Amino acid sequence: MQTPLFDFGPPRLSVSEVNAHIRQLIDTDDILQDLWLEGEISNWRPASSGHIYFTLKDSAASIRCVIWRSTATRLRYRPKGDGEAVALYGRVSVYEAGGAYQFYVNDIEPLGVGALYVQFERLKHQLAAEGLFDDEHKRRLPPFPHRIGVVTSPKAAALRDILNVLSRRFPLAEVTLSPAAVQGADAPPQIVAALKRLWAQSPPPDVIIVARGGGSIEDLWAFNDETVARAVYASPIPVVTGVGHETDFTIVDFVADRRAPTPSAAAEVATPDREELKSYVAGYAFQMETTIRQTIADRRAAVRQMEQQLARLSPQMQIDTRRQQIDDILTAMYRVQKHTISLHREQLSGQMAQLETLNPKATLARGYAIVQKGETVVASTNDVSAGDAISVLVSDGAFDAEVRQKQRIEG
Amino acid sequence: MTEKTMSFEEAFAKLGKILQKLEAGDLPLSESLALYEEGVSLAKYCNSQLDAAELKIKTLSAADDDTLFDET
Repeated sequence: MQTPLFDFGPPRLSVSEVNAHIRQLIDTDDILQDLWLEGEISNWRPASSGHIYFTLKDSAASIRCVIWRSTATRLRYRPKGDGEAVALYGRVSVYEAGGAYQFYVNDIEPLGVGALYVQFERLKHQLAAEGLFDDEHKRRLPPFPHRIGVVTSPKAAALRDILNVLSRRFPLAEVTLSPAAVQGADAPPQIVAALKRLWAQSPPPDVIIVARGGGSIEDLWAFNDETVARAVYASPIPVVTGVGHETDFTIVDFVADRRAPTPSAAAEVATPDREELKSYVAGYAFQMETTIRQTIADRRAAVRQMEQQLARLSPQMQIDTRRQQIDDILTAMYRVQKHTISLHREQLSGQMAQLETLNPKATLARGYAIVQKGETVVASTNDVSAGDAISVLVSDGAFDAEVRQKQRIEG
Repeated sequence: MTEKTMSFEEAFAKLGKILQKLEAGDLPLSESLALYEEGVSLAKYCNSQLDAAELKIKTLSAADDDTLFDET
């Protein structure tokens, strides 16, 4: 560098000197060394080195930012990418060799819940379009899950609630807790790792509950994470989610095989109720008893029927039957006989009446007499001669007479 | 598998099948009675499983992950 002869006019400096000077100015500026910077992220580029480069802008200007790898791993909040409104805590510094200034990020806060909702809606639409929420993909939960996996924070009340419900409803189960943070930037990868751990168990759980207690949208944010959603979708084991309160819906709730409104409800949904099972068993036992009683009663009735049939065919029965038949025949014969006898009687009295009309007594009563000579009845004058002794029978008696003379009537 | 090592689910399902067979009714009486006895025994077993059960809990540790990820 040439030293001027006189010290007037602007300094003559090299690039390095200028850049170093700028750096020094910025490094010693109170504001620029400790500030929160607000704006919208664009050109978000995580590098393979682990550093993240992006631009923060507002409506009129932008500034280049960098998050070093070491900071990136312990961020409280990790932005998803472009369009996100954030507040960055850090300082401005100068990259001397390139003559550029950058903002070095030490911490990030999401700006405003509105930004979060926008992100939520965007991811929800994207995953829905991909089919991650489709009903056809959702599986039925096993009716008797003997092994239950639980992904949640080991320190939280949610776990206690879940264990209480499981203990009451289905204590036959074996619970495997796969712990994970449920809040903060670490939560999504921990939740995914916790799921993988459960999938790798041998034997694996029959169902997995993913849960955390209530909180703000920021608190629940890990369950809106895309990697977590995709992991739940890819789970070979059915997943039940119980995140937040009744009205909280996170992306994993849509992807899960079944959503429950709270951690306790998730435990209920995943298991049958012991009391209900006991009443089913009692019902079966009752029905079995009723059926077997009926079967026995039916058999008894069949035996009784057989006995009756047998009795009908016994020798005694046959004798009695024959006796009865003989009686019936005798009765019939007697009836016929009576009838025949009365018929004959009728005939007889008829004949007797007829006979009566031919009775000579009636003739005698009319004045006729029967003349007999000895034993012979005199019917003609030729039967007697004068002087014969005859007897004369009249209606009320007889007398002797002698023939005096006879006379024949011609005609 | 003896009844003693049967899971609740298996015993419960078997109980249901026995009930079906009994209700269908075309069995010889000795078989009905034998099935009924087996059913009663299964119902007792189911109830004892439900009454005696205590929730078992185990916790996985992140240390197991190293072997996990090595396999992928």
